Amino acid sequence: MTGIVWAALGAVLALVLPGIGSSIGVGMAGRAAAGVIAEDPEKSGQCTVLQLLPATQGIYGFIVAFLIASNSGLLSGSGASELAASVGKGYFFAALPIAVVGLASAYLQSRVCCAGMNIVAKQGEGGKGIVLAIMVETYAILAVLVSVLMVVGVK
Amino acid sequence: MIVPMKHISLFARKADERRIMKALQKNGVIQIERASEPEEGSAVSSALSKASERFRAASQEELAKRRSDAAEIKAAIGALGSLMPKAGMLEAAPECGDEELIKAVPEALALCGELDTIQKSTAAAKADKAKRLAAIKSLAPYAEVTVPLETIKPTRSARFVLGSVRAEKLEGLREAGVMFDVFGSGAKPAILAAVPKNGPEETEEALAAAGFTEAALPEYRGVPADIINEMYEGIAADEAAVAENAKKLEALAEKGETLKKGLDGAMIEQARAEARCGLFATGETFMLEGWARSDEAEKLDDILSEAAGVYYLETRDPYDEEQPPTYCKNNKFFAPFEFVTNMYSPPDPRGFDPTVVMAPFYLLFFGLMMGDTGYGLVMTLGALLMLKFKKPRGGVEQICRILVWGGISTAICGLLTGTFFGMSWKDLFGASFPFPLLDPMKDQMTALVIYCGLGFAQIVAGMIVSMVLHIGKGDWQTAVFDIASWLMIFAGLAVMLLAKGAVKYLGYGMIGLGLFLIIVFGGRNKKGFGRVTGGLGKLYDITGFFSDVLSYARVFALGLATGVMGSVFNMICSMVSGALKGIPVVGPVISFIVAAALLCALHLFCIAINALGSFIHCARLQFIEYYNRFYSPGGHLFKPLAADTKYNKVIK
Repeated sequence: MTGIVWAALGAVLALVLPGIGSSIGVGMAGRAAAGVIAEDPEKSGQCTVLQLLPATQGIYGFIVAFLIASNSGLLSGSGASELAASVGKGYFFAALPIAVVGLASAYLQSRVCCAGMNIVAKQGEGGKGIVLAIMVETYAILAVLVSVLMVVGVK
Repeated sequence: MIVPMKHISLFARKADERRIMKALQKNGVIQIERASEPEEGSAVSSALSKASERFRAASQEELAKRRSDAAEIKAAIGALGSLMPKAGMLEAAPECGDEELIKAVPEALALCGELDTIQKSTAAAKADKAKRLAAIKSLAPYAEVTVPLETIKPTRSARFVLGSVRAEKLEGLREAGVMFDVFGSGAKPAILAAVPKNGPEETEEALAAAGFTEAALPEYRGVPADIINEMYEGIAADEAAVAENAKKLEALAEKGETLKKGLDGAMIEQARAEARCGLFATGETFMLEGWARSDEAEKLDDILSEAAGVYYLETRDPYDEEQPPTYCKNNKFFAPFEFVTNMYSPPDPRGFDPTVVMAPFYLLFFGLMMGDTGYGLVMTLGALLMLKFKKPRGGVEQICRILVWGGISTAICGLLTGTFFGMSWKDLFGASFPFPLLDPMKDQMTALVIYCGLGFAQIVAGMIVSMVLHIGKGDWQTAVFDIASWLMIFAGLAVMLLAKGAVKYLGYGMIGLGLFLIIVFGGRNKKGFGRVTGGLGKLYDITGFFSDVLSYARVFALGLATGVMGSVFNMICSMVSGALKGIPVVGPVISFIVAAALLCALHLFCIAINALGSFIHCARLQFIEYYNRFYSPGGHLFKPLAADTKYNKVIK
């Protein structure tokens, strides 16, 4: 495989896997939110925040994918064909942290979010549920940090 | 700062009860608890129980009534929903006196009655229409029958059946000798057939063979065509009624303000009724127990003497076994940050209010996580506009106030380490522009070390706070052996790394002393062998410091994410704009409009998602890495009986 194919593969993985995770996560949390809002529409604000939390992993993936695409010349087309295989592989491996961790973290975070909806429903306040859910995101943040640094650093 | 609570016991005449409760609610000074009752079985108890039970029962009944009032008005507001005039984005809640709100309750309930009548009338009209449509459907095949239906009656020798049969079968029926009349000329005309009473079988068989279906018509009177016309008239009337009701609903929705006032009034009355259920009453007097802020305890006498002629008020400090509510008092700058602490847990009423030592770190890390001057300015401006025009209350107000300062901090941090709307400063103002002082994208290791270093500073600050608190409590052993020892090791490490020459040995000495204190005294509360392992075990805390410090890497990551996300959005917009410019003649105009709209939308999205992330992740750093060191949670907030409303702001 040539360098640009490796880079493209990395960009695709970085976008698709966390994107799947976030879609599943936001979807699950959204269903739970709808249940709470059906009972009490006034709680929609807090429920929306809880639903939104697993969305960030997908955005992190998007950032990394865009950086890879832009740095490797996939977007402009210039220099894409000359991209060295080693550089392309570098992009590919740089994408893996957020691709894999983003997927897992979005899914698992949304389960905490769904449980957090119970707190909103029963106690009427979402702050504590949000704090619990945000703990899961830590690892996605570390992963995107490493991915971005690696993408920027690939030479 | 935590304001100490006073326990309140108030005795007054039952005749003054309503006035006193109103005055207390208006001033919002006492959190009313369920009054303690005389011990069961005692002489006092049996003498008092009847009066108190009657009072409780009446209070419960009143509470039920207030609740149902509030629920009814709330349901009416929900039913009118989208018809009601909507408040503007930046429109403040109207201001209103509590008396005016309470006066609006009967009016609102009357409106609820009207609404109910309208809804019932609409439902009845719709049901009637459905019934009439069904009738028309069943009569339609017999529309051309010219005989009034009520005249189809059996005679002495025959009975008559109305029904329909396919046109081509008519001849067969005639041949079979059935006597009938045909109405209409369609594919399946209606027929009225005579079935002779003696020997009906032949006729019935012939009819069945021809596929005759008998009409199933209820007791209609008159010619079908007339009945159908009548039905259509009825339907028109029903539709007119529904339309008229819709207009009435719109007119009713115009009075939505009254409903909203009524709901607020009902909520005020409901809160008071709830508090009333906590009172204990005799035949002539009542007793109220609860909590008041010690700085407001003196105000109580003024309020009570105005509301009641005679009363007896006893205030005392809480007993050790009692758990009073928590009330924190901070100045205008710090007060909003109580919201952050309360997301975790309000402080223990006998503990320490961390707001003042937390807010500066919160602002610093929030700013670094957002890290974009443009976004910071937008947040500050947006929050100020909200506060100025919308005048939010409660949590929303506190968040807005945090965002005002958070935005300023973000703007400064953006200049130091970040971007401007996702654009790098050097690209904007040339390579000689002195800012940012640090570019995290280029000097990653420096950035990581600085952010973790700031985190370490916060952790040390937390340890110092903890040390001061322990010394304040007289627990100098914990302060010295468990906290100062570590601080000494940290300071020694710093000296060792930074100093040159003989001073280095001072560093070694400090580390040594620190280690000595931990190993020897770390297990001081344990006995025998445990004392040795306890001290060594304490050394293991070092891993906790490591993981806590590394947790601040999230500041780096989120700051980077904001900047990169902004710049990615800029790139997307410039690509879109470049593509659109290619269109001949109108290209430049269209590309400008589209790119501008896209830029605004994307950057607003970026601000929203990153502000949410920064707000919460920054709070997490406070809760887990900072509060962990010194904070004693577990309080519950002081919630005095007050006029809490939804739509109107109560003026005192």
